[in-house]
Amino acid sequence: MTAKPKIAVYKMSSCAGCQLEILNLEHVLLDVINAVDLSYFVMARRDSEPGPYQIGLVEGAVTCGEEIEKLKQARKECETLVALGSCACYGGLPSIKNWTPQRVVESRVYENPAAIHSTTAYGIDYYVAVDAYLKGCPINKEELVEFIKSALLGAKPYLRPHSVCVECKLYENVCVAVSEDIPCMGPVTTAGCGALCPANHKACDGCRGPADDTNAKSLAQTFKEHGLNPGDIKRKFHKFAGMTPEFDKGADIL
Amino acid sequence: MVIARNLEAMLQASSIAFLPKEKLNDFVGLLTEEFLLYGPVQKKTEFVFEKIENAAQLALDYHTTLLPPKKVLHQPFETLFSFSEGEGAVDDVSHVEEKQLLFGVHPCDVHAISILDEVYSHEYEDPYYMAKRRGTLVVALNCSTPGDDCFCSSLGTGPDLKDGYDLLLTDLGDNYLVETGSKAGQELVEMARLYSAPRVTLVEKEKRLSDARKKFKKRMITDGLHDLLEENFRHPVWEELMKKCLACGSCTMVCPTCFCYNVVDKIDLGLRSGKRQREWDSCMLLEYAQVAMGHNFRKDRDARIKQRLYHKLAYYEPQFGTLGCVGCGRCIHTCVKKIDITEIIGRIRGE
Amino acid sequence: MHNPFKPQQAKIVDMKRETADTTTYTFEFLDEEVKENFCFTPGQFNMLTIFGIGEAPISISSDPAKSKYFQHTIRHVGNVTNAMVKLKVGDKLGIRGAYGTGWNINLLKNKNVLIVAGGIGLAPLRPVILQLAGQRGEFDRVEILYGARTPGEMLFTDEYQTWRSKGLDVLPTVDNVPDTEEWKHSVGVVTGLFDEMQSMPENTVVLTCGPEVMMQFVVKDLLERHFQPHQIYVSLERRMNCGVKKCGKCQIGPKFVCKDGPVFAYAELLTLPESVLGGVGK
Repeated sequence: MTAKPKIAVYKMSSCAGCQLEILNLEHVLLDVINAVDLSYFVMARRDSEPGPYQIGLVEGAVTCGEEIEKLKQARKECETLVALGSCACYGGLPSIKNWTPQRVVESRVYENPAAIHSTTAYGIDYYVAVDAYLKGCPINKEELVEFIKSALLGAKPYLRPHSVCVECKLYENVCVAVSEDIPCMGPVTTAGCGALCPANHKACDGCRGPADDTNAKSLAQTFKEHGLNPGDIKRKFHKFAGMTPEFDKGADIL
Repeated sequence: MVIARNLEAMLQASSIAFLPKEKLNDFVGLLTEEFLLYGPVQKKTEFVFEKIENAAQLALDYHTTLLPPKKVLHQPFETLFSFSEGEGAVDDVSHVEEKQLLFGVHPCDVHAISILDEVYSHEYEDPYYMAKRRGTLVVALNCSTPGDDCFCSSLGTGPDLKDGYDLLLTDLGDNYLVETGSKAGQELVEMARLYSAPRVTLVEKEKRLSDARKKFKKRMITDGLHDLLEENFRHPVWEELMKKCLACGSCTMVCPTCFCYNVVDKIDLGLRSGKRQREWDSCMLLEYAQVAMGHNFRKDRDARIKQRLYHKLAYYEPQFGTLGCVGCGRCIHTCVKKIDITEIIGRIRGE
Repeated sequence: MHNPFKPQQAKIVDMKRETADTTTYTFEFLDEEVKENFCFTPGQFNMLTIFGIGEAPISISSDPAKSKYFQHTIRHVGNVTNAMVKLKVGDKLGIRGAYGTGWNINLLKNKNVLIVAGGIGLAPLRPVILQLAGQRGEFDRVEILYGARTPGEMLFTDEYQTWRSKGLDVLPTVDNVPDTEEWKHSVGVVTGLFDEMQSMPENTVVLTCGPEVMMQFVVKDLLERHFQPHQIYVSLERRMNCGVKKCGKCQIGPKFVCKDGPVFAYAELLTLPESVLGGVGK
């Protein structure tokens, strides 16, 4: 057998929840370690093996100059670069600050804003070429395993491109939007999460970003008709993937 | 006149029996000894077909279930076979025939199963569907209260049923009238020792169904539907729907006659063995018509909206000799945008 | 019960690199009975499986007279076809088929045949070309117009001489010629060859296969040259997961491309509401 592919895990601005999901693979973690070499993974091991790596998993949004440099380095030392989680894909939760002036946001959080040099929060593909996107807040573990297997096979992984509604129907969840009149982002959000939130009686939050044929404008219109005010609608579309043109159209209802 | 003739035919039909409601539990108990039993049960504010063990779980006054009973025969996810390195496809997981029974299926869904029977046996047999279907009995239940989105009466697929069942129940208040539609159904009646009912009960049944017919809120005129649709492929309604539709795929996922599926290989992490699975797919989804080099034959949303509507109402007939819609109303109920197939047809007709 | 979805094991007995991204594989089924019973007509396809990656419909590119050893000419562009790059002679994969309705050779008897192919589209036409060459006396003029992007991307170049020696005219063209390559024939799109060809609408049947856009222009230009829709046969590409009218993916109107096609008379496509190959639809 050929040498195991080397994987590196990088962290930008994020909560580390996505890389924690790698360790949460528990029941298959030993199989994963048998198949790949987690060469650089600060959360899990004390020592690191130097690059180059076959696969780089990048977690987090890019929010400052240092991260841009770190990201460019990651791109250089990895054959395949993957955006791990919605922060890396779209800017994610950190990107909610993008709709408030920089100084206002910084002074709200930090005692001494002068020491902060933050930039607009972007997904990593704003700065470097990205080969694959594992969406979600956090990522879906099965999708990660699917991706690793495909990488080993040299194939494109099967990641659901369509709406969360498809999975809700496959699992026969009661539709929170239709049956309970709760505004749900499911119809415009990428599936692959197993419709986790609706299955637990909670509306989809849109954490996985736009599905492949997103009609955000029409959904925003429905939200409005059901009594949501424009600010609420904006927040719904801006929460995880507001930087995408698709969701920005939903936020732009006014 | 039509009704009178039907009544006459019914009066000549094979045996009819009573199932007193207080005996329902015993009857269901008997069935569970012989069959894997699926029936409508309540799930929050909705209903779903589930495996049941006793009559108490049943919600026979249900409107329409979220997914049609199709899900038992053509499952949302289904393993086709396993494979392993060097050996290729191994047929060890295919279609064990299990005796199962669908209990309380509404006429629209029974019709839909008959349509799927045709789809899955037409030219090539689908061994997975057919094996399950051959081991499945259908105890149907006539509808006495149509739901808000139902329009089966427009399509002749409800609220009553003429064939496609093993047993057919009609709620007559204290009793269910039980009609037999097959030898297997007759055996169930005998096994349960149901009392035969007087022929005149059929008059009572017809009265109840006739009341039900008056309660429909939606309708679709089917005369000349094929030509109407062919002539209106460029009607302005399609562009309006393109702007409205979320392309979420829900309408097709809940449809009792949709049969499309996608195939995915699931390989083990060791890359030596795995299984090939199929799962429901939908012509409403963007990736459905995309081929290897990236060309997409239905990139525009309106092309996909039309594909769904036209397939149900215009293409099904030349393919399988029947309309592809049974009027169950699920696609209307499930739509966040309340896109309504009956309104679209009404609109094109200029109603 | 016979399971039409279960692929049979087949072995690669020969491989030939055609171009930088295209390979012709020769297969035989491992099971003697399957091998013995396998037959196909020109234009039909098989479903090819790489276990763990998936399945893809691929046209058969070899002579139907030699069905025990059949060929697929594969451009490595999809998940399954990319995985095939790694395969060697002796390797096994899954195959089931043959499926679909191909070119109807009987319709071509005593007629002129005009074949218009683009890129990988020559592969599904090769079986019919080999049949026409084999039974040359039964057909009138046979003309093959073939376009590729560059000379290096042309398929079956070592066979044109044989085809010509059997009395088939072969007119090649390329979109452009890189500095590193040599080319003595036409340059330009395949429809540009219509000015040079001998074929006239009278008593002629056209068979065409190639990229969607190319076929659109082929059909459009031929109609302008007074060919009739019923004279033109096209081979369509659609997504397929079964090959046996079950998965639904390949439907156009009431047609299943996997069974009613992939070859259709253009006239038949014009009866469909949905526009195919630039036809206005009904």
